[in-house]
Amino acid sequence: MVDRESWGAFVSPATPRAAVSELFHLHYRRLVGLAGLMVDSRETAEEVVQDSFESLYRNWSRLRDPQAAVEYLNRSVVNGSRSHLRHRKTVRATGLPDVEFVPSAESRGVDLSRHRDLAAAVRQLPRRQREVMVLRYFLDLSEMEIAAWLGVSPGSVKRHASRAIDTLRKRMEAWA
Amino acid sequence: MNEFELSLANALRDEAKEISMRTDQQQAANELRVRLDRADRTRRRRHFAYAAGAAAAAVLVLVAVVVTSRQASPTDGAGPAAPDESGAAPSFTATFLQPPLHATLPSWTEHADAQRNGASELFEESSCAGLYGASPCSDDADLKLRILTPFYFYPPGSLTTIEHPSYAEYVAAWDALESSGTATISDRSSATVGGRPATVMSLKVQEDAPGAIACPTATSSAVSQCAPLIAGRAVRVAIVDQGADAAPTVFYISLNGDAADRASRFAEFDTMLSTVGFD
Repeated sequence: MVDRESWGAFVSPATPRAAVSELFHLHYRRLVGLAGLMVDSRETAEEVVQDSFESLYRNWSRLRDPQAAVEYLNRSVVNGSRSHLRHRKTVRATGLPDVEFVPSAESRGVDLSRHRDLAAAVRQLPRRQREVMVLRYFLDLSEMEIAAWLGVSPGSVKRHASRAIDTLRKRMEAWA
Repeated sequence: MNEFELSLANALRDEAKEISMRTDQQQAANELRVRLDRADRTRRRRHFAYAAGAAAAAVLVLVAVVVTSRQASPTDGAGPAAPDESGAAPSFTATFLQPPLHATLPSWTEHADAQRNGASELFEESSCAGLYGASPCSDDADLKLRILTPFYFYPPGSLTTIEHPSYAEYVAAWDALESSGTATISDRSSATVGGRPATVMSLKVQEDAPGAIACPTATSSAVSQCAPLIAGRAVRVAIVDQGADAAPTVFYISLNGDAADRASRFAEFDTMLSTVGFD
């Protein structure tokens, strides 16, 4: 779970560039992880995160306060990942090859662990259910917040979450 | 959160951590540096574009535009209207200039409303101001008063602009108009305008000098995009020193060099200068 309290510890340096660099130092890996949960390759996740930091820098003057920068980044990474997935769907439709996430040798070595199984099961969920799971259980957002981020109703979030949990439970029982 | 949900949260956290641990943060930081440099360059270009736009607006904004004999007295087609001493002297505030200023304009500008361009409007050929290529108005038919900040201009004989000229550079370029044979200069004096040092001079323009007054951008075409001095015109100009780090403020009046009321128009211009205040 992401420690949301720690987001508040960020004190903005004097210049936007210094602030963005500091945020990059503090949050880059976490954001790559977030994007990596939503897209299919680490390279894509890294690109999405780079785009988000660049966007933050370009829009720094519009931030209501420096503390909003972390939320901006989270949201930007989620939106960028979703945008990539929508694009990938289009690419697939045109017959271009898909880029699959390739686990490392280390991850293959522990692939039988429950966490690995669960994470793998999340990857196999339909896109919207997967997004809801990541936002709910990685970013620790409430259903209302998820609804706002995804632009759907809270009821829809609840339904997606419920179906996803059911699917994951069944998958884990089948793998047990 | 129940046990399953806790397991799910931990699984996602572990998965994200594993993904992130395989990323090269140093390489990513280098890539970000390149991206931010690119963003800075884009921002600087945009800033200069805005500055150029502001300069263009200042150049192209006509404080009071073009009173022709035809417009002032449509029935007789005679020369420029005589000074209208009875008219109300319009006060003028230019918040778009840097620094902002206020002044009391010559009373004849009251009659120029129909041809006046607002601060937000770009100059158009049809406004008869003669700044944008070939003016549809004949050169000797108009009377113009302009206030501007010259961010770019072409010195006499130069094929390239001077960017962000200092007061000294800009004054030197106007002085050089005489030695280059472009204009004859008279009544040159040092003055104080709005409490700031200024140079005031009158010119009779002998040869066209495209871009001699100001351009909207560093690469503007001198012939088609810049404010020129036009042969045959009489000009009185006041160049105001705004300090080492700022472009000067320029006031000028331009009219037919043979206009009978030239002296009185220039006197009105000098009176206007005495009313200028910088905010």
